[in-house]
Amino acid sequence: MRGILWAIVMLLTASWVTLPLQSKIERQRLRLKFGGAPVTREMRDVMGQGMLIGVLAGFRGVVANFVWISSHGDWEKKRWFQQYNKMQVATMLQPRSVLFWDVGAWHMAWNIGYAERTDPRHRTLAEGMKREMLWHERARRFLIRGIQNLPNRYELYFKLGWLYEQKFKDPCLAAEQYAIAAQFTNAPAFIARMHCRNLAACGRLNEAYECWKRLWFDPAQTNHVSRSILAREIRKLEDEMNLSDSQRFFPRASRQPETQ
Amino acid sequence: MTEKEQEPRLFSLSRIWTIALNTLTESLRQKVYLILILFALVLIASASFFSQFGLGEPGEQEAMEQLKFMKDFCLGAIAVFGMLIAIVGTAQLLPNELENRTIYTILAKPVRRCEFLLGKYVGSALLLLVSVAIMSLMFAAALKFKGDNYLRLIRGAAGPQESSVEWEQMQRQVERIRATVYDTDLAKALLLAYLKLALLAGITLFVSTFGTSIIFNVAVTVMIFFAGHLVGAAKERWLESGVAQFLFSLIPDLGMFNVADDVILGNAIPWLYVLQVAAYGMVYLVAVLAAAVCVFAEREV
Repeated sequence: MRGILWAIVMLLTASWVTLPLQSKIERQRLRLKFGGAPVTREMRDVMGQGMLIGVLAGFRGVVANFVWISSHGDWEKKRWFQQYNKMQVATMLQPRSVLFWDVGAWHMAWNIGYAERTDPRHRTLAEGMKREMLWHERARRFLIRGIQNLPNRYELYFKLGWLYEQKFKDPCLAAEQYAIAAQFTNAPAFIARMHCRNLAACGRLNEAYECWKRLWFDPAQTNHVSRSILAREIRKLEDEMNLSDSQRFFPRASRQPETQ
Repeated sequence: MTEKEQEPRLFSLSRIWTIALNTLTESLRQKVYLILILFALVLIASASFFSQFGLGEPGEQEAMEQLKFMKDFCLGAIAVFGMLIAIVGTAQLLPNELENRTIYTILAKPVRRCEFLLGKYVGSALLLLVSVAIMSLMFAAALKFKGDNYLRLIRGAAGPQESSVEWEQMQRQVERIRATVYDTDLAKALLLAYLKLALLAGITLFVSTFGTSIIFNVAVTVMIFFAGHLVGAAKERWLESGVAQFLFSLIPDLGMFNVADDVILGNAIPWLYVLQVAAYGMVYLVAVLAAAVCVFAEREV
């Protein structure tokens, strides 16, 4: 009996000693955004009993993958809403997966959107287009939620910009997103160029001109292909803005930049 | 001569080591272990075939998606089979010794009960180390094989006539795939996975010091395993109550050891976090083993 009492004392002491360490680790987990959302009834309904046990046993990633893979089956059977629900659950289980947000939004805006527009069950093309727009909106909200979960990754800002540019035909909103994405040090150089191009398409020509000129001095844009794109875009804008030779970065006579 | 006089006076690490090596050899020869490790290896090796499912666009996106699936699947397999080996391998240590009566011959020698118990635990921890190492090697090989395949595909798709932008893009894709395959943070995930299994083995041994059968030991430890993963969520709900927090902290929070998901998703895992969780696990492990020694010291054998 004395041994059992000692054992209880040991365990109580351990939990008392580790209490501050545990709360420290938990705070750190929260700060680093480790793990996913807590399991809810909605998740349980979509996942089923078996997968729920997997989540409870700590196999969140594996279950998220199985949910994601099973959404592929729904895609093949054209069950868009089931696919949508499963994508929601997969992102709930792994909210820090860029891939789930990125591919999910791409499916909604491009694949499902197109399938809805061309679905012969819709009586008119207008109805199909209306449904397509609903999916574009779903993709937009999906990406915004993704950004809220992953604010420190450039990929989703870029994808949202791409969505605004390609599907919403809104270069102004696209430029805003590209601007944010381009600020990340690991963002590819072409995103900064897309920002400038969309500023021009938005009608903010002066800002676009300054943007292109700034890129000319950017060390990330030094390869000869980037240089030729920059020179072409700057000249195009200068012509479009009808600038005089003195105002031009590339004076018409020399066709060389004033400063290097 | 009384029982107390027969007990050796000094605590011997060499005796613990001898028992540990013996336990390891015995465990490695067991069919259950061999079947479990064989299944684990087959599953990990076949992960590259399972990862054919994917929704991404062909090319880099598909490669990244499938590498992610593969990592999730393999780390999941290591966790599941590691858990089975930890629980099944440790739960039978004491009951088998008692049933085969080999414990009498060992304890009749100048071996303390605590040395016997610690030797059994170290043997079990070594078994887990060997198992995790074998599974990790297979995982690394499968990942490299898959990664190299993708690298070959991407390099093959870009011919020498490609423009420098496309070449640059291809190089970036290659770098990203390389970073995914040769991710050193995976070692942190494996280290914490091993520590979790070592803690689980300690808990199983503690349970088996008062447990009456292998089934009882396995059932209780599996319940503790599930409770250990739920305790984090339970603590969140009862944040205000200090008493509830204290009671919940009696069960080890095994969720803290799960960083595999975050490693796979490319989130940085600071070493400080790994060390803190390792320290937490070690404190808990020492307490559990000490409790096991206390209970086993009084057990009738």
